[in-house]
Amino acid sequence: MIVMKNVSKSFTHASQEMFHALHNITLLIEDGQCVVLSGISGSGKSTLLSIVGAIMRPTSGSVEIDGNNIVSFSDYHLSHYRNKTIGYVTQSFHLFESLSVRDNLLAPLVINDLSSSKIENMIESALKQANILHKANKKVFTLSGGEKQRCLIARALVNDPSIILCDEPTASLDKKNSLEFIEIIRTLHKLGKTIIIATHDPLFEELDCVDRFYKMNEGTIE
Amino acid sequence: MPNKNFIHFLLLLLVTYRNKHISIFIISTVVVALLASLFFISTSIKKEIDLTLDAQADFVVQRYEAGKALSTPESWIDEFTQINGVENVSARVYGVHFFEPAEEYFLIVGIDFFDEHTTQALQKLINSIDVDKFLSKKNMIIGEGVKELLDYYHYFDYYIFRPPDRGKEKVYIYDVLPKETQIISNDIIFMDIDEARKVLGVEDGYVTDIVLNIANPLEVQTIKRKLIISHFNMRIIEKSAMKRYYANLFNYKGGIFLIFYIVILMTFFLILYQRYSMISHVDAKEIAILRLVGWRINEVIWLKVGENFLVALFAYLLGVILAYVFVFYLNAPLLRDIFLGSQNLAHSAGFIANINMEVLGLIFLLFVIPFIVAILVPVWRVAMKEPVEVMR
Amino acid sequence: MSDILLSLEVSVLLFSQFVLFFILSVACLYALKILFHYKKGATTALQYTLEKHSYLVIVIIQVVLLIKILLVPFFTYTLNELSTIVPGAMCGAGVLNSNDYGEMTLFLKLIVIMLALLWMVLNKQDQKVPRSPYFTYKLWFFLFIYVMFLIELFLEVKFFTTLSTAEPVSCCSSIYTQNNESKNILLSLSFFQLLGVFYLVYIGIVVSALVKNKVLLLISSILFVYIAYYTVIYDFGIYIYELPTHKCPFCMLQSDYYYVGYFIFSSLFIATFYAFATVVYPFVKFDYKRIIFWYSIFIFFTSLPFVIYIVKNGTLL
Repeated sequence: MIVMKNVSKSFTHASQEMFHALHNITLLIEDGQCVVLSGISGSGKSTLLSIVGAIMRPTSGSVEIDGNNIVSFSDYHLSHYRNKTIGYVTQSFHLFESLSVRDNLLAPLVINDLSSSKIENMIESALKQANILHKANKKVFTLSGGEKQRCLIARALVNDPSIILCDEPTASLDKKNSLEFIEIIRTLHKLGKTIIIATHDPLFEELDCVDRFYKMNEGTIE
Repeated sequence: MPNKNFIHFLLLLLVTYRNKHISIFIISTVVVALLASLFFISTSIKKEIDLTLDAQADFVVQRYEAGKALSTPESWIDEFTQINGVENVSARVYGVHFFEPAEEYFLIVGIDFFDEHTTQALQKLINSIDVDKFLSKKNMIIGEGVKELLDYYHYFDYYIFRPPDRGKEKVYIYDVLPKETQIISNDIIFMDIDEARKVLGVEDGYVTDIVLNIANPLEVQTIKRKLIISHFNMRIIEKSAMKRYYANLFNYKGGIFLIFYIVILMTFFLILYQRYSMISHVDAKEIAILRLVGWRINEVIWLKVGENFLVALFAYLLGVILAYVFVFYLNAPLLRDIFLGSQNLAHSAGFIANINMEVLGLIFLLFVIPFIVAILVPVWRVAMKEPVEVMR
Repeated sequence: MSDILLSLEVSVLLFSQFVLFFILSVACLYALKILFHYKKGATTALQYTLEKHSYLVIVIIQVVLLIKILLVPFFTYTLNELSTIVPGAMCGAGVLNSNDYGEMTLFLKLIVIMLALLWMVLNKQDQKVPRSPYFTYKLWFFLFIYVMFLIELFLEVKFFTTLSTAEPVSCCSSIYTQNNESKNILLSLSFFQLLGVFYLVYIGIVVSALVKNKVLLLISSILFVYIAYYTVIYDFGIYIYELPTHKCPFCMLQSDYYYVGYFIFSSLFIATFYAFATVVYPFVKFDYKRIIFWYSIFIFFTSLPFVIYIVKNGTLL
């Protein structure tokens, strides 16, 4: 369960001018829910996602995940938490372009004390779930946009996290690939993963698997 | 901390993104090669000196009056032989001959061929010496440097000395000394003791100095005292003192180079620091990805330290191999002359290949430690960058 | 003076030490900065930045520890090398004892490594718990190690600069003869008495480990280091060298004796480290098996040459 209480986030620009990305957000997301955050760019949905994903700390407020207030975590434990609990499908393609798909999936695993065969199994199953197994040994830079996207999903899944975060997942995909992505999301939802998607794609609006739909505007939830 | 998979991933990144490290690798290799050449030359010289000095007698005794070395009476030999614990007492006649045409000095050493010990020592140097044949006429054995000079002035078979008594001494070249002993014996001429007396103008019944060995090393100080008591007008040079003298001499030369080298090294590490302080976009993205998937800052740091350690290690290995080839196969052009200086004759010494674990360890410490230390701060700076900052 | 400093080994050693001094000073500045601003439990941006700064301190001390462990055998090697240019010295012991700073330098080197190892244990525990309970303690501890390192560096520089190549020094056999250190009560003991005390204290450690008594373990482990040092020199050493008059802790570090000294002293060091870590930290599990194991390894390495000699020759020296 994710509980956000009075979460605010502000940035200081170079011009010394404060920019408030989030205003007193209070939000509750149950385990296994699929939540869509929609809104125009700059509405704060990416910031909200980053805070749940533990790659950004709020200026004030608390974020409790499974009973732990992650805001008070040291960076050391926050990273560990991120590694174990969060699968992050990022907006742009954050992959090692010159490594193969399979080797890209090593990154979240090698910092844990796992046997080689265990790692092999985890990668295999993540590749299957993301439907990219047939390109496993191809270098990332040879892949198409849709395939890169699925590689990102595979990497997000490889550690078997309970929370999946997607930041504008269909922004650079064509209709066919977007539908394929939604298909994957549907399967993950059935597996009981908590899914949060930040998007402005209307494709998600009439999706049957979405439990909650939040519209964000200027740092608040409407 | 460093588990097998982590290292596997580290190597994967290193091999895939090897172009990123190539410039540092090349400079590092050059720096190591320079350092290793310096060390190889200096240990090789030490080794040569040890080889030569080990064959020397424990004590050299000279008559010394008013601060000047004078000819030593031969009668002392018998006196010294009486002292218990002293063995192999023998006389030496030697001196310097000025070779006018080239304005060079030769060192003439007379050898008593009836003295078994000296002959043995000489036979260590030249294994094929036939004493009877050598003594059948006026013969000499010369160093490589002497040989070159005499050849230049067309004295291929013999040389005519002009002793102080205005006579002429025609001496034939019997053999040339082997290369290994060259640092000390380059300008040397060995000849029969009586012949040397004539050439140098030493009176009969006198010698230049007396050498002797001591059977038990623990008795060195006792015997030294006994010798001094027997004649006050003498000076005793110990082999260990000679060794110390040479060791210090070459430490001195090596040390000066080391100081120069450390200056170069510091500059290099400053460049290294600068290089790593400039965070490239690729680097920043790479680290953002790792942090995103849950790497801790210390794990990122160790990844980077590991990468650089391997770069330094490979540069070290390649540098050492290059230096080996440079010093022992090519005989270290340029560096050699600076190191040996130009004493009497230009040394054409070849270096004896002599490498031990200690020297390799020394180079490793001197290079790899500052290398790793220089990158720590910049690497940490990169590693602590927030992933969000990079991703936007 | 200059002769010593120009020896390659010494200049490399001092150069390395100054490089470490430099990087530790950087760490020290950051540690002070963190300690100055850190507020326990705060969730401000500054606090997170400070935590990130602490990574630099951590990684520096880890790297320095690794290098320092490498440098100890190099230091003893250098001493052995210097014995060729210091008149009278036959091995490192003569060089080390030729002035007042040598022994203290070596002692402090080992202390610094011991402290750094203990620091690593504290750091590991601190990171294990989400709210970093020992965060400030470990930084203060680091500053203490830094001060110890400064003293070590000072003594080392002093040691090498006052080392003379002109004055003859004593060799190891004359340094470690009984009458030279007659003030020491251990040395008035006979061969078997000393051996008896040695094994007695060993049994004391085993017992205090088994009953898990920290005070007893602390006392017996400190006592053991002291007694073990002398027993190695005066009892086991002569069986390593197979010569009743050869008493020296240094010669056994040379290749002639298969570097057995490194095994002996490092096993003692590790055993003492485990004992200390157990005693000092409340969070370290009292692992009596590990402690007894390492002390027994030490006993094994020391007694081995002794047993080999007796088996081979059927008699005592």
